[in-house]
Amino acid sequence: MAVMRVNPNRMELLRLRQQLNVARRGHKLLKDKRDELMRQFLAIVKKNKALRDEVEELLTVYNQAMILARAVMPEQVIESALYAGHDNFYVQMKTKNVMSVTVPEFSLPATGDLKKAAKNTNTEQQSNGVDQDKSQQKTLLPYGLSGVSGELDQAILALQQALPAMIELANIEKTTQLLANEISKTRRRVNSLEHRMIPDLEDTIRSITMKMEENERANTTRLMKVKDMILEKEILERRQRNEKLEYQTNNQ
Amino acid sequence: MKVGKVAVIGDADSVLGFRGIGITVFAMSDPKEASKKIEELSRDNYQLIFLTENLAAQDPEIMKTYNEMKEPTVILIPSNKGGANYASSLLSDSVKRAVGLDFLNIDN
Repeated sequence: MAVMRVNPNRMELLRLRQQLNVARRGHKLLKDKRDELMRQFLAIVKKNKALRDEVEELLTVYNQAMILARAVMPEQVIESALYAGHDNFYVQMKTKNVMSVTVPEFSLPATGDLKKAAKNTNTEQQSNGVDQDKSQQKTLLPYGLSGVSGELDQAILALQQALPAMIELANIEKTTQLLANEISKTRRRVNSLEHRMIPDLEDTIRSITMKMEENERANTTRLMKVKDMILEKEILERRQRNEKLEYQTNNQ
Repeated sequence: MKVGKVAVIGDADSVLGFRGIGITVFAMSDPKEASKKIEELSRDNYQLIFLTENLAAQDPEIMKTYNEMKEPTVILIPSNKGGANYASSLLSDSVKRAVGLDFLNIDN
């Protein structure tokens, strides 16, 4: 029970009533929003977990291959091989709207670009009549094949396989996080409306109505009292007049 | 359609291979340095940053900050020393925060 400090008059009462209406409507809307957010969140969080497990598995494969590569080659060879390529990797980015939460949506660049890049670096192998699929896989390796052992190739290929899942994980995980934030924000709002604002408004409105009724009653009693006093005075005057008249007639 | 750059941050052993597929790599093992780097990268149009779990686990503030921001997207990846399950525990945390109970672990 917490009554706000407002003047108990009709103006305030009307204002508070309107505020209560708005608060109730907002509460209902926010509750609906929270429920829907929760529904979407639950769907996505399961997916997130599965995807994370998948990515961890794929990257374990990569890490194991990398350890093998390190075992068979000196560090410098690996480093120089890997730094030979250029870092031109980029992702395409869109934004998506999930329940008015803007989430990023990454996707791998169109395969056309990769193919073009592949052709440029690997025309030689293709002309040698190497199987198309195989050459495509190999073309994505940034280094020359001489001097580098196959273990590193395995690691890089494992990483390439993991990449789509990693991008997908990035989408899902960011969405999960942003949704979680939005849910906790919405829930706070719903709770503060439900447990604080609406009861407070109701209490205040009740207390104002009671105060006003009390004033009304006080006014009535005061009027009655005044009326009584006036009547009494009138009666007294009339009695005096009557007595005077009686006295005069008796004397005559 | 916007185009965003991608970076990987982590200890050299775990992240070096990402060079092999053309992703920019920043090898470091100090979480303070890493959080500075992420800040720097986010100003430089890097939209997607992968960070190794063991680095993020040493400074929880990093993920706390970037999980609330719209961009950049910072995603944890396991390092070669094993996952340490930091990413999963963060996921459980956010579930707990949103739903009020951690139903992911109840399943298990």
